[in-house]
Amino acid sequence: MDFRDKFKQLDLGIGTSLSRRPIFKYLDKETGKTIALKRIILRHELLQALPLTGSSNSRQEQPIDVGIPANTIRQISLYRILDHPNIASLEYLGNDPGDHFVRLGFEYVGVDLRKFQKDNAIRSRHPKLIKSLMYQLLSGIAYYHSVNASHGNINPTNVLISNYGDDNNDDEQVNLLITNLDLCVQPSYQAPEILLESNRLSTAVDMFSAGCIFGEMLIGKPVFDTENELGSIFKLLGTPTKQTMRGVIDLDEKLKKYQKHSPKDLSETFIGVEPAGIDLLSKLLCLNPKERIMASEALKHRYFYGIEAKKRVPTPAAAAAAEVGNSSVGPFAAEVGSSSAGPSAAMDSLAAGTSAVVGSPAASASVLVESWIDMVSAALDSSEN
Amino acid sequence: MPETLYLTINIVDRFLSMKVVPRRELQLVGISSMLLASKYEEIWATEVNDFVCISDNAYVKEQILVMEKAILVKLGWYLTVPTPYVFLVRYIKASVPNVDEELENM
Repeated sequence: MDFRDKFKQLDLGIGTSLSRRPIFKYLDKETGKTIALKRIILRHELLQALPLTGSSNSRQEQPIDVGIPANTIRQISLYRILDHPNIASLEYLGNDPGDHFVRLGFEYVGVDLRKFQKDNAIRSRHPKLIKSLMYQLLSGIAYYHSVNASHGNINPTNVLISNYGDDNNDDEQVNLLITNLDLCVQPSYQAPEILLESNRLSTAVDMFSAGCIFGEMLIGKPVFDTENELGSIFKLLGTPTKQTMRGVIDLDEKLKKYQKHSPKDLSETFIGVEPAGIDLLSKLLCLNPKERIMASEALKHRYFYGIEAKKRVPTPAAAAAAEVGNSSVGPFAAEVGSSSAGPSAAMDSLAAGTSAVVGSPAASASVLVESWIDMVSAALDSSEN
Repeated sequence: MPETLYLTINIVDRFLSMKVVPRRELQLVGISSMLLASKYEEIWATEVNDFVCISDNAYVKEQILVMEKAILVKLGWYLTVPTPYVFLVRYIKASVPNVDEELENM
């Protein structure tokens, strides 16, 4: 069905995308669901016309007429299998008639975090609410990492808050969804290794972004400067040295223009926050990606004692298994190899743009049946030894 | 990479189960599927021209690209699938200590 027949544009747009196009919300005339539309451009000529994004990952030199770019294929294929209560689902996928771009419609409920904080200045700083939201945010990120993918662009515009309001005072009921729109946002909430143009990125980039959001929720304003983001990161966390960033990046050249700072005590900036919160924040905002806490570990942090995960919905394997029903995979629709690849599977730098990528070496390792996989890999591991 | 081959077969299988393809286009489906699989799996994907070449110019570039798109749309962009390969690797690893690459590629 034609896009215009199926959807109705809702309002003046929710922001500007990286390609300087407004992003609108649409109403699905049939189901009544609201979606936010993201466009992925397919034509190489159009790609080149875009300004490079903040992280200045050099866009790969591709000859014209390569067909659909590899990143696009990986991205969309990933969105198709994502299925988690804290991740916005892909509701619509369509091509424009001219084949210039693909339209992706993501579920959009509530408002983004930025607007939520603005409109609910007092409520949004409530410690219990922050804790609940952070837990949901990290659950979503942990899910991304569990399928060997990385979101790569976690920021307040990509975090949707819903189910709050005057009639709902139960903080645990407030819902958080991670979506994946390319809205232009300042500061970028990106990890220092991205800003330093490291070519060895990992899923740890999301954890730093989560730390930025955590800090912002705690103090009610962005933790780092809009203008001199890297500078302000170093001001708070200390300028990295060869020892603290060993093996991550060759720093000598890039650090010349930054003043030397020593790390500050986070509890002085984030006043009145419980010690466990400060501890978690310091582990998320760790400069060295190799030492930064992983999402699955963060969920077990003592800050979250007493919080329970949202009820789980069926894992993507169910959907994927239905989809591959014709192939010979049968009931074993899970990826055992992924358990050994682990969430630290490095992303190839060429795919590490501003949106989700699948770690290439283990790209197929993306379907996960949690209970099943634990059981089987435990059995296999014990037989290995 | 071996994953690419397994994914190619998966794509061909699924596409053919959904759509009737005349015999003269069968090879085209195979080529386009492999192009897709290599884009998905490989860091340096094989170029379209290489595929034109190895198929002895049976099809032109445009045909391959049109078919690529047709396959993607038909499969609803689902390329993240479990293939037998990952199971094989895992089971070999679990069953034989100190597995070498040669065995894996058998």
